Amino acid sequence: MATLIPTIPETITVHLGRPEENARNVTLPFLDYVANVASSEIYPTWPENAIRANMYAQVSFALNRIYTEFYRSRGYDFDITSSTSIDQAFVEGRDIFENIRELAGQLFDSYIRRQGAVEPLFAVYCDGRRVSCNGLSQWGSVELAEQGLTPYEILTYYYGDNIDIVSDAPIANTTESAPTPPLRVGSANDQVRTAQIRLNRISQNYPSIPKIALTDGVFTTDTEAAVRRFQEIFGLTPDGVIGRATWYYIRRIYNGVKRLNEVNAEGVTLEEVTQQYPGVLREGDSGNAVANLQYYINYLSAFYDTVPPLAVDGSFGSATRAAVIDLQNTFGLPADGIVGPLTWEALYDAYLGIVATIPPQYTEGNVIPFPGRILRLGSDSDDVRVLQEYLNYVARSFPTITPVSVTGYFGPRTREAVIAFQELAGLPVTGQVSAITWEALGDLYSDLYNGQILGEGQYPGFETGVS
Amino acid sequence: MNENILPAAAGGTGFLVVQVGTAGNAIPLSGAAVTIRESNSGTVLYELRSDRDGRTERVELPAPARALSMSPSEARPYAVYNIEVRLSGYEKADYQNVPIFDGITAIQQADLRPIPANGTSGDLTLNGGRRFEGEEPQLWRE
Repeated sequence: MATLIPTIPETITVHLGRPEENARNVTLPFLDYVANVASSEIYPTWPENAIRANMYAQVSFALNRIYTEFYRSRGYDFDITSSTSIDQAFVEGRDIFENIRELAGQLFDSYIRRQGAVEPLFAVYCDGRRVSCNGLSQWGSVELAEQGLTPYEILTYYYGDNIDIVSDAPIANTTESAPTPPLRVGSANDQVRTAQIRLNRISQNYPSIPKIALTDGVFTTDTEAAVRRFQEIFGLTPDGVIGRATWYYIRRIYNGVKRLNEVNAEGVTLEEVTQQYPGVLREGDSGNAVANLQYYINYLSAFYDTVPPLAVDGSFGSATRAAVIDLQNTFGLPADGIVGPLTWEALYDAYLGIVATIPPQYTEGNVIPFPGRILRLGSDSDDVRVLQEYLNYVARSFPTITPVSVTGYFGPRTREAVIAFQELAGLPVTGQVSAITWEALGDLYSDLYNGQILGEGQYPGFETGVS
Repeated sequence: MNENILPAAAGGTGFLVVQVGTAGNAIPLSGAAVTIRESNSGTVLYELRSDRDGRTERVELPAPARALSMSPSEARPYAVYNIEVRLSGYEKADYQNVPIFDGITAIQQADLRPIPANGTSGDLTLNGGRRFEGEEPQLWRE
């Protein structure tokens, strides 16, 4: 059922062929999809207004497919195809042009809308030389841009006057939005702090990004240095200012880094991994064997873009079946959605290969999992001690939380601190700690803690030399 | 590949950076061997290594003059190159016909997969690696 207000999806699933073809599906961040389509459909040397106009049309086209659930409502497990005769060009694994990448960060959350309608415009376009159509002409847009038309003027020329460009559309599942005005030295607010925490977490994996000593929401020169190095690494204009594109790319890279952590945090150690084939698993089954299967598939999805993420809920439903089919297509196995010995072996071998190859710091979760019982006023245990340590560490960056004594006893002050944390994290304010609160607190602790670990050359307050 | 094209006159310079990692952008990989070749002849132009952020240096590559891309033309308005990325423990990745435009920096992301245990391998294997065929931009396809 389509939602009333169009939102920007975090990811999009692209079928690499015509809908009825048995081709692979690729799931990737919508931001990356937009940059890929633009790099595939048009030339990066064109005037910027022509590029922008084309990208608005491309984004609208894709959002229309998603909003109308065009493929999903027909039983397909993807959002759009890469077939240029019915959808738009998407080339897996292609190079992306720097200027287009930056523009994608600026307008992936914008779309064209017919005035009086809600849905993103089904913005048909064509090259305008071999093919004409009732929509944007790609070559025509170049001429119009050279004559000085703005992107909006180019779009009204082809789609009519009664259109709007909606910008800053909400992104699904988050209330966050890009900072306006852009953040720079001298800015001080919550968004600065969010960016600082994220950059520090990213710098754990990308050590040439200098650490920001105080993640307190004040944009200092060492924040600027971190931003600039991030921009250099990821091909954005290295101006040390967090505008829309930089904000969204920081978010994008941070989400990728965190996802790897989450995929590991649920997990089992190498010693606990069982190779033992659990017997044939198929749709309708449930239990631990299914949960294990889902765990491995989900783990693989972080490394194989042709395997989608999967909820680990122990129940083999249609989502699990679709993921098994994607997995089987990835490994060249008969795609029947049933997990027999060959499928299990391919899955397990891939998992083992990953765990054995990537550096160990990326496979260790570093937050203690939820102890399994709710902590509340009157609780007295080592788990409360851990809770209090997490709260105190977080309090160093978030002054609305008053630090507590680490006694292991959950008294009124601990309860106040928990409430303050729940408020700032946007969680239900209960004063008690169940799994959701524990995980959110541990998550934040992990970001802050990792953000403070200095790698070689990451001395706060110094700009690292360009490598 | 259309073999009747007029050879595109080199008259400009494009740029390329290769970024090597695994798990999407989550884990950068340093020390990967990156080889850049001219697509037609296979001549090696650069042999690079990725740094600790997974990046190679930015290299210059000949490309047709920018003006050629501003209106439909018989000649291909960009140059193409092949990029090969190798790192022990990971599947080799091959990128064919990577387009390069005059005055534009292209970023080639090389998202490597760890080699599965017991030698089985993922899709599109060619000599034990992944191969990505570049496609001609829609604009220039006959």
